Amino acid sequence: MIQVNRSSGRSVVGDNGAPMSGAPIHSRFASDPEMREIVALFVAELPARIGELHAAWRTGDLDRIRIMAHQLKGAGGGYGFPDLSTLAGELEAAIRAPGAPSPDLDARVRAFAAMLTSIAEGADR
Amino acid sequence: MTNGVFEPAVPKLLVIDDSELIHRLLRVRLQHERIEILSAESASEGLRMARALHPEVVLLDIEMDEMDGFEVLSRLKSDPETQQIAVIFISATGDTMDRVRGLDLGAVDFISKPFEVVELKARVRSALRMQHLFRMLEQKAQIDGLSGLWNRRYFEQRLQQEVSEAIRHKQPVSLLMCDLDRFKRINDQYGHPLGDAVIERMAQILSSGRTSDIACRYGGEEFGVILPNTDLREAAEVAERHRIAIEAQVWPESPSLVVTASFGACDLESVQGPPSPEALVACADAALYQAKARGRNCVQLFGREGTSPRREQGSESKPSA
Repeated sequence: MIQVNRSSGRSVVGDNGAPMSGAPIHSRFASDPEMREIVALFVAELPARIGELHAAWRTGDLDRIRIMAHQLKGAGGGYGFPDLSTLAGELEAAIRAPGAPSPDLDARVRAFAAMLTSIAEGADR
Repeated sequence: MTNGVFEPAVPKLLVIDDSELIHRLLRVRLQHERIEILSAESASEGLRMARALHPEVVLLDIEMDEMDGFEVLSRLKSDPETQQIAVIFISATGDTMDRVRGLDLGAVDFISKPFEVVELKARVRSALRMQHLFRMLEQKAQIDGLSGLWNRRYFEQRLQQEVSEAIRHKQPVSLLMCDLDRFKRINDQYGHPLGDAVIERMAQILSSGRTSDIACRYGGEEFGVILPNTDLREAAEVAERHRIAIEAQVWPESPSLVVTASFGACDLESVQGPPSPEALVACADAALYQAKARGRNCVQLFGREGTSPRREQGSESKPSA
């Protein structure tokens, strides 16, 4: 199934769950002076989150991944990354779904990690 | 912006959300609103802070890990300490039934996450406006028109609160019940306008005591004064001061008039049976009845021999008569 992002109309995740592009992603609020500082902090904290995600995935700690996805679903849009909210929401739903883990979970986690990496790489500087 | 003491208190917004990212975001996005933002990062911390800090508005995340937001909402709405707080819940699911459930549980509004900042601000402002009107209306409905004192409804609610508080903190609490002596005769002989003036003067006297005392109009010419953190001995002193003050009043409109009042006092420790607001009222009322029977214009402590020395001159009926 192809997930389509409502706001952009672009496909966020392809059939295999891989991100469509690895290009750096910038916050919509990159030029908003009141947001600059906390967006920078958000981005600066991402490498640690990515590390945590990998560690949780290695040890099969789905609960940890679900909480992380849940929090980024709620906050992503607020920090100017609406696609991150969408992707995180789908990952959370996939973990919560009855009969989980679903077979595409591995792809979803990788897509999620890839988007976090794209955002981390989009850091201005 | 002025930081003057004349500005009314800044309203408090308590954000209950288990994501630090959201707290950070809201602090920035709401920094120019005239509100104080309080942050609780868990459901239990949120409930505790709501009780302790009495925010005007709570912004509540429905999807928290430790406790379902609906559970938090129903706890806020079932606790008398927090049920007046306007709750806006944040729903991330976009599920209609979730919104219906939140509103039915007593939330005033909801907002979807991720939220647009302008919408969030507008909803918070709207909740604050509503809360302000609600508080004004509520206060109006609790004040007695003639005396300007708290009315009976407020009295009962507040006494309940103070008794619970006293039990929880193992502190004393006392109650004075007070009744103007032969008030009907004042009305009959001097007319109702003077009767009303007497009620008003009595109200002034009862509310000009210690700032922590809560003076209420209980019924026609009967008053209740709740004395938090006060034992029976102190309560007797407060009552005696009030008794002397009313007796000493001069009534230029009717120089021959002498107004007196009788007082019954009781503290929570002295009530018979389990301590409760009802028991406290019953015992203070019984003491008041005894004060009347002793000849009026005196203070009677529940379960004690009479104290106040000064009485009306003349006939004195026996307590049992």
